[in-house]
Amino acid sequence: MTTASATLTREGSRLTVSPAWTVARKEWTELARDSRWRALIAVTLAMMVVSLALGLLHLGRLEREHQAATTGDRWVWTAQGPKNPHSAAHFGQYAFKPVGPLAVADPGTDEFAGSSVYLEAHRQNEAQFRSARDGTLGSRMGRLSLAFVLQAVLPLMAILLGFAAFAGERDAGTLALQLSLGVRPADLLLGKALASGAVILGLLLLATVGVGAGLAVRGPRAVEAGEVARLLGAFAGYAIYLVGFLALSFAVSARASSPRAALVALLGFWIVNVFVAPRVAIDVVRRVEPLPTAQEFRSAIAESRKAQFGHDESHPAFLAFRERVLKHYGVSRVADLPVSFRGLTLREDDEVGYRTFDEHYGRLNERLRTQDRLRAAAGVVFPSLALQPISMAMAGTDNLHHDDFIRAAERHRRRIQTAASQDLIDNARNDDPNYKAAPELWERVPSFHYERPSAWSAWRSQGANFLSLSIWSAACVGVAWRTSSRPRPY
Amino acid sequence: MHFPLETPLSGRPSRRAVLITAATCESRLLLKDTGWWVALALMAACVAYAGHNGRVRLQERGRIVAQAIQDESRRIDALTKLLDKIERHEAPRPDAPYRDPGNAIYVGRGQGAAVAYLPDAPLAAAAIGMSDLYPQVLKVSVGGKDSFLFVDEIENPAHLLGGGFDLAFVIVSILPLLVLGTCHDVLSGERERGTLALILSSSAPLATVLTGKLLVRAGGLAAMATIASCLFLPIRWESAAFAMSGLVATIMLTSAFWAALCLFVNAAGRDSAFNAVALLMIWVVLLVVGPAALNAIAQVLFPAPSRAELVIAVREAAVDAERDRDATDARYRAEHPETADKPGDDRTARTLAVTVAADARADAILNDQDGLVRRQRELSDRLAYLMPACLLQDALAELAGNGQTRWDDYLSRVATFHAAFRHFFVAKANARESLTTADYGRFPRFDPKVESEAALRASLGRVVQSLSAVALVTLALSLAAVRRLSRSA
Repeated sequence: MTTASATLTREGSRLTVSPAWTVARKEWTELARDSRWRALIAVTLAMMVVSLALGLLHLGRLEREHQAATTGDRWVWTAQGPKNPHSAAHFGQYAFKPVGPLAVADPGTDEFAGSSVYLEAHRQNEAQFRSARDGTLGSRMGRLSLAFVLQAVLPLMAILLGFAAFAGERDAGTLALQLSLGVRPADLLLGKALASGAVILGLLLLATVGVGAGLAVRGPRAVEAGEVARLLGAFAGYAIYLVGFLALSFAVSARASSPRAALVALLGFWIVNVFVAPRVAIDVVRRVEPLPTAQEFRSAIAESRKAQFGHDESHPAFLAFRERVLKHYGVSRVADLPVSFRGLTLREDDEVGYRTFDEHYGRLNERLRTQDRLRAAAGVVFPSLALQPISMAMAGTDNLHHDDFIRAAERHRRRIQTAASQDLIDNARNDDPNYKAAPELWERVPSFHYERPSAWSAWRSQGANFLSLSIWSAACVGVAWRTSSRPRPY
Repeated sequence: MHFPLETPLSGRPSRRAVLITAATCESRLLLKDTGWWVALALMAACVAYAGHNGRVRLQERGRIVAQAIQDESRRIDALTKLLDKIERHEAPRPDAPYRDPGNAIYVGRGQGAAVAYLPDAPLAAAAIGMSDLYPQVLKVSVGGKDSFLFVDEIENPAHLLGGGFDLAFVIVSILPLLVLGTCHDVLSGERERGTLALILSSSAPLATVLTGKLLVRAGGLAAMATIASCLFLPIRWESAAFAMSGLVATIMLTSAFWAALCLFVNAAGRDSAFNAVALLMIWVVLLVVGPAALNAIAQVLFPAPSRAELVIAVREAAVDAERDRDATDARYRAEHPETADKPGDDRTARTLAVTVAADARADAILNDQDGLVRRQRELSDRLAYLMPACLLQDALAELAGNGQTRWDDYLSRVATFHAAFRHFFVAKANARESLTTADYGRFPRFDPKVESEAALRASLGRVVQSLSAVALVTLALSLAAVRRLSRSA
């Protein structure tokens, strides 16, 4: 660094070069010449490429499995011979959760949430088959995904880029020299931020473009407008997070007594942010907002369902319903009804059941959402807690997307029940207990088809987390600006 | 630091005397070091918090098991009472076979299901392991294993993803950080303070002096972790002797491994800042990047089986069984027209046929899929030898009884029990016998306390193997460090 500002003359014109730009160029040159940085960037890029490739492989396998399962279940459903429609409703269908394209970057909670739901008569089931169960203990220590690289490794790079920004210059004696030459501290900060930011955000940009390119290779359908909007959301979240880390590194570096002290403090925060805070937050949230046990939950539903008659023809609700039906049709005997009474009772019982399930599952989901909100609330202090939900939401692998899938599956279950009961109502005779529907009915009941929520809904669901992350990042920038405006020269 | 200059026999101070003197001097220095006390307090606080979490998790698990047992006894009581009334002709036998407490196949498939669970091991609170992913309770029924093996406990998926703050996390991840914090400058610090020349000018071997210092620093942290574990971890002491010895060994080995690593890095002769960064990078690689990469390799080479395939196969078997049943019925009625209009309990017979067919199919597919999972685990186990942290994590999970070996043994006992349970009900149904109240007392029940000796031995072997491997690496690192030191000296 030679001058605070440089005024160049080129072919008679005066070209003013910003001092911040000069600092940035100097920093950039130093980074480019440092073989350790070249190696570190190469390793990070390699991790990104490998994690992306693994993500694409995994996505391809999951898509093939999903396709095979969907086709297989359709075959099984339509292969039923002549059968009582209610029996077919008991046999039911399976809803298999499709995996979104951006799961290549962040697999999120998919492996822990269950991948299929059994859609059967009288009962709303929870998702089954958490694939994480088939994993190893080592897999609980971490999974190499692009999200992991961006959440854990890039902040580490930001720290390594920033911890010596001021403290290192101070140690080398160049900070006092630069300040004595009239370099404004703000220009120093801006210049260093420009160079370091170019490295970090450049890597983030490469990762984002890499995801887009990876998806494009799989086919144009994978890169729809919604996916681009989601990718932008993820990019924005990670950019805010990484800028915050870079600013924090500068802030600590400007005030720390030595580069070592700055590094220890920053690494301490990184470890707490990435490894400790998420676990502590989980433990705290589990205690503040506990979930019912499966037994409690199912018992509560069973208790509520006692008000329903199910298949119990001596139940008071059944007798009352029969009275209402007879009165409605103006007949005195079930045998005189123009429609199947059994079909009517099944439909009535289902509809009462839907309200029961909505009430209980609604309460459970509300508790899950509260847990997620509480956990993310600490994101103002520990940004990974705010970033993780943003990343998963944009990838479509968070709890809200899973909940949307569960709701869609339940809507489909209700369609099957309604179709089965309606067929009984319309076609079964009251004096025919052995009525069987023709196999064409199974063809008419559609397969489960799931459309993920829009990118806009993912953005909307993450408003609070974006706000937390932005507050933290802005606070770090503010502190960096303040501390670097009066750095300790010695 | 004052070292004994010589012994009467050799003229050089004995290594033991140097070690003791170095350790004593280091202890005196650390007594006045605030940072050291902070590290000890942090260690104790982390273990206490982990112990508290372990206690809470054990209570939650206990509640789940108690509720399941209570539910089982309520179900069986209700059925027995109803059947008793039917037998004494105080109540009519229900028309629907699925409501009949005497219908073996329906009772076995539903309300008669037996509860199976894996009791907590004496040191269960030490490591969550895979226990949060597995169901705490299985309701074993006559249906295929797929109908009860995959019924999970309710849990927030994000919490399963994040894991919990247990003692294993403290020992495997936090203890190393504290060891690094206190030991990263074991040699460079002496050089930077100007005391290295003094040590070298004495006749005390440098490596022995540094070992003494590391013994106090890393050993002190390990001792604090051990004491805090004894104080704060809920342990069933009467049966925890082996597990506790293993836990203490794991804590000591973890400390020793990272201390050896500190010595190795220090022996390169760089300054403390470099050592700190280098050791932290090694921590990141060994605890974060390495395990993630190994897991990725195992998953790519042996991907987890598609459980959807299991679902479809079982459903196909059910459809095939129904078709077979229809064909058999049609043939029988064609050959015996006199039975055509006689109502029989077709529903029970059909359910029985579907149950048996689907169960056989599920068993076959599950066996295949378990083979795939085992292959992935075997590869993962082999790769774990590249990452000491994975071995330590595995050893702790095994010691806590929440590792793979004990779970596999439990599943194998559940499979045997399931076969006996199914046989009891299917035999009755095949013989078209109704259940009696006396039969209810003879329902097979799962004994959770009978664990196989082979599994206990396998678990012990796994722990010994893991710890031995880490001990070997530690020894190799120490020897390499001593060699480096002797060269540089």
